[in-house]
Amino acid sequence: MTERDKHTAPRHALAVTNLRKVFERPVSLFRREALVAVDDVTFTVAPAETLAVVGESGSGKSTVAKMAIGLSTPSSGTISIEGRDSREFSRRELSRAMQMIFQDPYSSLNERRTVGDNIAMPLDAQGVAGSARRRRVAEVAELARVPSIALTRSPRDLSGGQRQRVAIARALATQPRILICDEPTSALDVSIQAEILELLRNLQAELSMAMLFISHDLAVVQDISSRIVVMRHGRVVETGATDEVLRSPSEDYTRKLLDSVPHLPALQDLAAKHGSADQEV
Amino acid sequence: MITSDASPLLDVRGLVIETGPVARPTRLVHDIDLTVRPGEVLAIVGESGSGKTLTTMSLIDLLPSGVRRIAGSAGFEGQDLYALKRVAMDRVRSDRIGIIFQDPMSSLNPSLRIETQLTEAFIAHGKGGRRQALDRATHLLNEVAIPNPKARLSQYPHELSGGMRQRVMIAMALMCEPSLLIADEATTALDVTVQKQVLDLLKEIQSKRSLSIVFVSHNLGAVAEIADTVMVMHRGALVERGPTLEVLTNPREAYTRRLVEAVPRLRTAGQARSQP
Repeated sequence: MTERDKHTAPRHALAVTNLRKVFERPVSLFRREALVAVDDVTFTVAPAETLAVVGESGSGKSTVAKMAIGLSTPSSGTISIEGRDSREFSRRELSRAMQMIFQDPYSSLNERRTVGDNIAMPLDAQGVAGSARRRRVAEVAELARVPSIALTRSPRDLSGGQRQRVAIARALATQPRILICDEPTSALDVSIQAEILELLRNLQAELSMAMLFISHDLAVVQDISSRIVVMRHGRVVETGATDEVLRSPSEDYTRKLLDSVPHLPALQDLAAKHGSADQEV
Repeated sequence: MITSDASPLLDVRGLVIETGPVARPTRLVHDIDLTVRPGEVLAIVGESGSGKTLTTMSLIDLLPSGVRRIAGSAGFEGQDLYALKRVAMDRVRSDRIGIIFQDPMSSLNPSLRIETQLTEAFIAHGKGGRRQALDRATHLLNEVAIPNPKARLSQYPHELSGGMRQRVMIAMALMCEPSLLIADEATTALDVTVQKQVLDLLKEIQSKRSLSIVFVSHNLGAVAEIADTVMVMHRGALVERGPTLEVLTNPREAYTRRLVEAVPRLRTAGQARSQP
């Protein structure tokens, strides 16, 4: 751990240490081949901090997220939540501490239940019922800007962006201290993507949650995270403050990743446009 | 390189596409005109539901069922694509117009060797025999930078990586030496490093053959890299069109400006950033 890390991370919301995941896949009837998806990954997320994990497909970034929230069991290594080993957590405790938002808002919601019921799912798991349940659903719907009129509708009536807001409201229902976002805007149109990112950024600050933000998109990560972990082939390639890593990467792979992002020329601002229009005529 | 005074290779006029009951149809594409000159790369950009893919698919008669083209003409090499019978269209497709789709795995046949998929149309369209087809396939795989092309020919699609499959798709689209290439979100599903390689490859192939390309994409960064001209669509209608740099840096329409502004931009050491 560097000096800077010590300074910005006095206490961990989430810490993964020497995390490793090996998938065994059958090659033939008698032979299995081991695929090391995540290899010796260590990082920490401070309370109220957003840490981004970036990488290309097959880098292991999503597997790390799944292990962190308990959807996948690590082959070795430990995950600690606020200083306690996550294996000591009951499911209830875990769902109170940590929630997740997925990439595809079309498959992550239950279409047979109303939007309100979808949002209340983690509350139902906690045994919150009656007026407390109603109140909390209304609260988080407002936080995530889900219109109250939508609560009695089916997710089927909503657009992709609205569905992702519902998924965000659901994730907030139990007031988690840690929010894991796995490519939360990758399936959305660019204008909707901007709205959802803005919403996540504001919520994270307002509720001072720790956020683990998984993405393949460096430009998205730049504005939302304070620190970044670059992964490749299951390993951490580089880690550090987001601005520093993106401005002066110390690893070749990070540089290659940055150089590959297509360059969109800057938009001329409106004032400049009017200025030049005067001269043109 | 565009020859500006040349007559267009593709000239679409008054395209209207509808769906739903004939009595009460829903209009999906409103009166679109579109031209592509020889050697020009035209990008059609827009968000989902903008009609960019429907417009493009109408050219090769691949509209989804229940979606109808009710007006328009599409002049291409002296014929109207919209007036072609099925057999004639089959011939134009892959012979004169090559197509690259977003997901190479769904457009390559998983049970056929690369060799068969590359040579099938070439032989069927009477371009030559098996020997010539194989020579050309090897040559093209080489051109799209697939290492050891001879060995690849006997492999199946699942044995190749995503980037390799997209290269095979490009080689396949070029087999019959088409004059127009349609690339529908051709780089969208690829990782960013692979996307760059495929974009560079497309640019190289385009300039070498002065191929015309219709590049359909929602990725404005990729569009900025490859297109000469951009056409912005929104809800089935044309918003604006013009030279790529002009449209992307100095849009005339508010919608285009919002679209361009919404794209998250990477600020790196090489690029100056205006601090607020």
